[in-house]
Formats: sequence, structure tokens, C-alpha cells
Amino acid sequence: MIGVELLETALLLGLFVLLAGAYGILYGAGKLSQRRAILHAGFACYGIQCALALVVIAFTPLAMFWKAFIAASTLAYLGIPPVTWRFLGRMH
Amino acid sequence: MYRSQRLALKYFAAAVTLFGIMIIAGLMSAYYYINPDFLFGLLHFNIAKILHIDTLVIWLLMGFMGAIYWFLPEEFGMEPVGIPAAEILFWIFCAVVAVVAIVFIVVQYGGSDTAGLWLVQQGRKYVEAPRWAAVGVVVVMAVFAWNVIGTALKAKKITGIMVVLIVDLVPLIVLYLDAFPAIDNMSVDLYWWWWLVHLWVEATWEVLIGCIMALALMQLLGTSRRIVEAWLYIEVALVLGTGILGLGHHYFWIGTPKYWLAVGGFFSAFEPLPLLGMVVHAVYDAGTHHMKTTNKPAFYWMMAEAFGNFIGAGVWGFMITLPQVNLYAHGTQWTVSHGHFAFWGAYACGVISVIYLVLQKSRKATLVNGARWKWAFAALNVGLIGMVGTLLVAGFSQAFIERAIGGSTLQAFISGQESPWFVDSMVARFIFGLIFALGYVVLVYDFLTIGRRVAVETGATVTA
Amino acid sequence: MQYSDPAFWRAGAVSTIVVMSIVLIMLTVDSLADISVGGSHVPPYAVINKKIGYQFDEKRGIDVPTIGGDSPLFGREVTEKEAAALINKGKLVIQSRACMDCHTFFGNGAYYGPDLTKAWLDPAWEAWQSITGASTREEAMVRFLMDPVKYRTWARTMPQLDLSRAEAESVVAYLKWMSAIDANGFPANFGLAQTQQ
Repeated sequence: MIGVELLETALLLGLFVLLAGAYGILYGAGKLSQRRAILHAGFACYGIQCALALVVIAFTPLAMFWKAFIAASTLAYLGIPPVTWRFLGRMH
Repeated sequence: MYRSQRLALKYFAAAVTLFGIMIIAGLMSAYYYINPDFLFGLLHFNIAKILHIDTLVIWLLMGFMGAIYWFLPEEFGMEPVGIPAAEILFWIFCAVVAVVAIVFIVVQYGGSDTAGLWLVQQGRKYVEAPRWAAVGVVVVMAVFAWNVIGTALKAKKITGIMVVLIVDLVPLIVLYLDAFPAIDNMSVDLYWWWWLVHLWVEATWEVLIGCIMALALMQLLGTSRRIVEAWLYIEVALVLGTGILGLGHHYFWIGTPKYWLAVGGFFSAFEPLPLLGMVVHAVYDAGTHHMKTTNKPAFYWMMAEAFGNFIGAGVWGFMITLPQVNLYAHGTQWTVSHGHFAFWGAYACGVISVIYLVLQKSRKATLVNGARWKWAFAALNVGLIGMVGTLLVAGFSQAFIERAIGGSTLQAFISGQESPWFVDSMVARFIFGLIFALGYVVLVYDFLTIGRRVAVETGATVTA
Repeated sequence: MQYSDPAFWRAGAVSTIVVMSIVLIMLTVDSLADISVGGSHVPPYAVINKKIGYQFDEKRGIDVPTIGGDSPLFGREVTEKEAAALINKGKLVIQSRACMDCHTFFGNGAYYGPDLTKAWLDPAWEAWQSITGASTREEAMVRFLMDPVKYRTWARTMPQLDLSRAEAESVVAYLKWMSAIDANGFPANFGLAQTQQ
């Protein structure tokens, strides 16, 4: 991996997780406020996260193993906020 | 107040004091980058750094112990066992820390022999303290464990949270035994060293702070025990499920077999997922309570913990954990950026939150709020994020110039360190460090004054 | 529903920890064999008698240490036992002076000074031979270590650490041995500055 690619890849990976966080926060905020606009904003963040995953897979020099990992974890990130929310709702 | 709880307050006072010393040592460490002739011939970077990172470990450990000593009697409904011994050991602990620090500053280096290791300096990061002091730490922790376990035995009852804590204390203490050996083979030395460092801060400490947050949440938000326990078990499962083999993300480049790149990178890359769950949980708690609580600072610092942990450990960590990126980011200011952010989010915010909670209880204040805690909160977080951001820029330029382009020679190192991005980042980092330090001063003032009852002539009480 | 029962999650936590710990222990046993002296990644201490290099390996796709012909340190051929004594001393010096709190070893430590993983192979020593008036690399290193202020490298001066000649020689031996450890390609492209692409 060469200089610029290194920084670009790392930034993409960081943004990938950051957007997962944004999705989680907006999902929760949307559920709490019962406002669909906020919930949709959350899903939009997830959409951007997916787009970032595609960019990582298509354009970074990461090995196939890690690209597959990114793809699989993108799916996992989708489930975390709703599953967590449902669980918390049931417990409380 | 139980005797154990009075001890808790002592531990918090000591923790906050060491936090301050950590900041002074941190400012010094940062200043060397700006003025490399600072105190030359008297005190050098490595000693300042040792003071900085060792007080980090101890102030957080003391914060954890304070929290446990506070909650312990309430968990078991009785005065914990062995507190008189623990009280003596508290003062011994403080004395040991002071002596070690003074020896580091005044003596600095021992001979390259066993005597030097026992009396002056062991020179292994985070566990530089001489062996005699490490013995002291083991004794303190052993008595701490006895305070918990002995009380459980005497009370003849146990809670789920206490079971998790007790089980966690065993590896916590056993892992610390790596503070003793001096292994010739650097690969083997680092192999075991990482068992101590990683399995402390990315495993046993996470369980410890999880237990503390569970105990705190029950009081802060009135959450039921059943819920915090279930959540604690889930958190432990996910954090240790990813973190135990996530240890392998320290085994990429120390001479270990190549499979660690796959194993370590894989499990490490999963580590952000449970942290996202914690963020969602934090949003849930914030929302369902409409941000209403009798202790605003404790609540906000707990929120900071969830978010700081996710971003500092999760996002920042994910940037550098994949081996192909790590090859270039490894051992640079990028690591420093991640380390500061992760420690802050995962542990410091949590300890500060608990201190506010305990101060409310110990001062019997019905409501804890005000302007001062907000200034401290703002300055500390702005300072921290500023430091982290500037260190990230420095790390980027270092990874780019020194590693990716320069090939990591001395000349490459110097080129990286002298690049304008790096140099300017170091100045900016120092300025944010000053802001952080200012926040600390306000925090301490707030700790000393918040929630104190002030009797007015009419007989009505006013809380400050 | 069993999900609301903490005991369900407790069982999950216990089983997860047990499984992960067992795997870690198994991998540890395997790894320790490879990283012990003489293992596949870590050469015997007597490698300090040999010429050490670092080259790109086409098959593995990474830089790997190479061990060449005879090149004894300070012109003195040592046995494995003598080399081990030197390495032992060197490590004690490194610990006693807290080198790890300015420098990094395999990227671990502090970032104020350069990484020392391949310090033995650093091209800068050639210049330091003439600066210190030394006829060999190891002699230049020893003279530098004994007086890093006199032979300062750049603005961030390494401080005087009061190393004796024997201590300095043991550190050099340590650095030479360490440079022969196979660290999966870290640091990459050592000594080969890349042109920006």
C-alpha cells in the first residue's frame, strides 16, 4: 500500500464505523421521538455506510479476506440498533 | 456512611490527585516535542512519559477501587470485611506511588542488573515501577479482592454483579504478575507483556468498568437489577468474545507467526460492534428518562463514556486495526491519538461519572447540577478531542512520510518529525492539552464544592 | 422469554469466554515455539556472528531478514552461550535506561525517538562511522551510545545515559540480534525510500 492509499483506506474505514454510530444514534432518537424523519435519517446514514463499504471493496488495496469481512460486517451493523432497541424495550 | 465508603472517598481523592499529576507530566511530554532542549540534562522525555502513563494506570485503578468500596456495603447490606486493613493499605499504596515517582524523577536509572530492577526502574512500558513496588501493588489488589470475596462469604449471599466482579478480579491480579519478569527474548517479552496490557485495558478492565456502570446505573436512573445484570452479561460476552482473541492485533509485528494477522485483525475488527450496542443503550436511557435526573453531571459523563468509548476505541481503533493499514500506522502518533481517545472514553469518563454520583450520595444532596460542571465537561472534552485530532494529523503525516514513503529509517523518522504538518500538530496538541488542564482545575473545584449543603439563617438549606 | 432471563446471557458469557480462552491458549503454545530462540521466527543469539540483511521475499510478498556469511561483532566470534550472556546484558541495559519510553521495539514503546527494530541496519551508521572515527558500524554505534550528546543526530538530542563500554557493546549485540527476527515484514521497505506515486 502506498502513501495516499494508506490514508484514504484508513479514513474510509473510520468513517464506515462512524456512520454506523450515526445510524445507531438516529435510529434510537427516531424511535424515542416517534418521528419517521429522524428514523429515515438513520437509515440514510446506514445507506452511506453501505456506499462506503462498496468504495472500500472496489477501490482500496485491501486483501479479499478483509473486503469480505467488511461486506459481512456491514450486514451485522444493520441489525445492531433494531435488535438492541427491541431487547431493551422487552427488558424494561 | 459505612467505613468502606469513607475509604472510597479517600481513593477518589487520591485518584483525582494522580489525574492532575498525569496532566502535568502529559504537558511536559508534549512540550519536549516543541522544545527538545527542555530540561535537557535534568529530566528527559522518557521519565516524563513514564510519570504520565503510570499515573494514568494508577489513577484509573484507584477510581475503580473507590467505586467498588463505595458500592460494596450497599450490595451486601453490611460493612465489608477487612476494611481496617484496606485503610492501612491505602496509605501504603499512596506512599509507594510517591516514592516510586520521586525515585523516577531523582534517580531515574538503576544499574543494568537485578538490583536495579528491584529498586529503581524496570523500563517496560506501563510497568516501569521497580519490583518492590510491584509487590506492593499485588498486596493492595489481593486485599482488595479479599474485601470483596470475604464479604460475599460472610454475607452468605451474592448478586450477579458481584459474581462477575469476583471472577474478573482473578485474571486482573494474575495478569499483573507479568510486571515482574525480565525476559531476554524481546518477542517473548512482548508476547506476555501484551497479555497484561491488552487483557487489562481491553478485557478485565472493561468488565470492571461494566460492573461499576451497572451499579451506578441502578442508582442514577433507578434501572432494575435484572436489566443491568442481563446487560452486563451481554456486554461481557461481546467484549471478551471479541477482545480475548482481539489480543492478536498486538501480535502482527513482534515476531509471531503470520496467522495472527488474520486472527487478530478479524476479532479486533469486530470490537466496535458491542460498543455500538452501548451507544444505542445510552440513547435509550437518555431518551426514556428525558435527560431528567437528579444528578446531571453523572448522567452526562456516563453518556460521554458510551460515546467516547465507541468513537475513541471503536472508530479510531478500526481505522488502524486491519494489518495492511497497521503496517504503516503502527508505532506512530496515530497510535497515541487512538490511545488518548480510547482511555478517555472507555474509563476516565466513567470514573468521573461515578465520582459525581458518590459525591451526591455522600453529601446527601437531592439535586446535583450547576454551571461549573458544564464548564469542566466542555473544557475537558474539547481539550481531549483537540488533542486527539491534532495527534491524528501528526499520525497521518508520520505514517505517510516515515513509514509508507521513507521506509522507517532514522532519516525517514526525522523527515516525518520535521514535516510542517507534524510540527504544527504538536503545537496545537499542546494548546489543547492546556485547555484540558484548565478543565481539570474546574473539575476539581467542582468536586470540592458541588452538592455541599449551605445552611442559611432562615434554616432552609441550599445546595451549591 | 429466555432472553429476558439474565441466566441465559450469563451462560452465553461463560461459554464465549471459555471457548475464546481455550483458542488463545492453543495459539499461545504454538506461537511460543516459533518465537522462542531458535524457533522459526527468532534466530539463535549466535546469529550476531553473521551478516544480517533485510530483503523482499517474492514468495511471501514481504521483507524478511537474511542471514549471510561470517561477520563477527567487534571481530570476536562468540559461542551461543557467550552470545546469550551479551543479549542478557543488553536487555538489562535497555530496561534499566527505559529505552522503551523514548523508542519503539517492533513498534512498541514511545514515539519520541526512532524505532529500533532495524536500527542495526540503518544506512545512517555509515555517516556515523566517519563522524565518530570508527572503522566498523558496531564501533560507531558503541561510540554514539556512550556519548550521544557529542555525536548528536538531530535537534532531539539523545541524552547521556552513562553507559559503560561493556553495556554499550551489549546493546549493539542486542540490536543486531533483534534485526534478524522475522516480524512479518515490519517495518516495510526499510531503507528503500519510495517515490511518491
